Amino acid sequence: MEEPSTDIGLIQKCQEGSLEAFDELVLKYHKKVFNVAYRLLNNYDEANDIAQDVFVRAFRAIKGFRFQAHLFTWLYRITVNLCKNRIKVLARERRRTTSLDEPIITEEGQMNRQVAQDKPLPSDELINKERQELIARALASLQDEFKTAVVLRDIEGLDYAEIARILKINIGTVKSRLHRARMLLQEKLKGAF
Amino acid sequence: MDCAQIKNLLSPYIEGELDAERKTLLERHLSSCSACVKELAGLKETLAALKKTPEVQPPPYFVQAVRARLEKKPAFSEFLRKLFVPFHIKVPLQAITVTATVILLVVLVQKSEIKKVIPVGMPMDMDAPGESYVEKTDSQEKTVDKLARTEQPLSGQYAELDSQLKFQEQDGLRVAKLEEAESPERIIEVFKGKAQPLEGEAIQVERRYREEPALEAEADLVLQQPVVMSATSDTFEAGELATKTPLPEKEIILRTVQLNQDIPRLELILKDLGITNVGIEHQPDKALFSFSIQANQLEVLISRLKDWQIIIQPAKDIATTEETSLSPISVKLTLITQ
Repeated sequence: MEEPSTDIGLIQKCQEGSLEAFDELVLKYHKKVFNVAYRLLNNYDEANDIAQDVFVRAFRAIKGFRFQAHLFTWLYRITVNLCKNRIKVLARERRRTTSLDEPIITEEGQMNRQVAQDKPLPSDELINKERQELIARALASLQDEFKTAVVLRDIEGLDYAEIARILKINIGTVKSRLHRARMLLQEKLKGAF
Repeated sequence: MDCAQIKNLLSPYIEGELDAERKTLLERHLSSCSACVKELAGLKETLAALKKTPEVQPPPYFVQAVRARLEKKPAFSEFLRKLFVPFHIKVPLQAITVTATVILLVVLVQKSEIKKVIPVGMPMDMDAPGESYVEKTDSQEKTVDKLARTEQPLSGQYAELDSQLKFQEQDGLRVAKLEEAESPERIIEVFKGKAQPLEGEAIQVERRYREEPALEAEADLVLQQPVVMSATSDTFEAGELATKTPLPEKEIILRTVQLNQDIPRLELILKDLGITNVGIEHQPDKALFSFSIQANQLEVLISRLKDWQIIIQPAKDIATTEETSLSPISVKLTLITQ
């Protein structure tokens, strides 16, 4: 698939150092990048920091961009990698201070702390927003690689080939990760609905 | 197949990825297992909910925040990284702090035999005409080369350095010495011009004057308006450049063109010459142009700017060319309006 022609022009200008051209690319892609970061980190402020990092790094490296991949593929790759690193750092930081409200983050992923509830939430109250919230929490508790597969495929709606390019893995691996991730997610949600 | 095996196939089944045989087996199982049917329905619901995940709105100032970060001067760590890249060594920050690593920057200032031409009306505070910073082969000077690739213009950095450091004459050199740095942060502060280096800090900056003539090709072209004819042989009228100065046959890097007027005109002329790879940085009182140009095109460019006087002066900064594999020639073109 060809890079959109408007992007090519903008990228070339960025490669010549134009910050104005880069502003346009940021404007065009920041929502996507921000949302992927938010889904992977499950924290608005962290997502904001990482999404900014993505574009700062992208601009500094854009001279090396050779149009062999889509710009958004490249941006998504940076996003996924930075989020992965950030989760590791957060896991280290939170080992010392843990909160009952926050999910436990380990290097393998996040898991919700099991706390005895006064009473179970009635399933008929779990409409839309709450349902989304439950899914988001379940998703956040998945290991990075599974979470990433679900975010890119089921939330962002990317196809297997795009995900494979972003993660630099083959399509077969994307499929098996996704199917496994969905199964794990389903297990975590069991009884919630 | 038992229920556990079936569960593993539900996602591929939804995606239509099962072969005919497994699909038949699965559908046969579903027709007789309500638990697995429920499982399938639950998965479909989850996928539908994921698809409807509402988009999160980034903060409204996001683009500006990114821009602000890009416009910030390089962080200290970035500075150190660039500083030590030529030596291919990793230096931990702590090690630098503890050992008070001495950073030696050598700035060679070259004096030219070419006479300085300061025509009537030219501002006298032009940054040191007649002197040029020249990259040489020794490693310390390469350090300077790397600094040249930081975000600030080379000449600007050196100008800052010069203004911040107190030089003393020593064996024909102007030397500013600082030993026992308080902290690495101090070094960068000095570089950023935010602080005066203290006596005893571990920065040593040498600025040498050399009596050898500058290479003719390493020249600044100072175009001045209006035309001020000068009697000296170093002043050229438009179009005469090639006959006076042997220009390299290879591509020339015309790195910095400072303009404080006629910005659109130069843009148009460059476009007309087919030079598309032009970086333009607009500043309040001028614009900096950066582009590469063939020697023959340079002649044409100069002839197109025929109402500007051309003065050959030694280069003040020499573009490093490792990345471009072009001829190591830098031509600085400055258009100054009276």
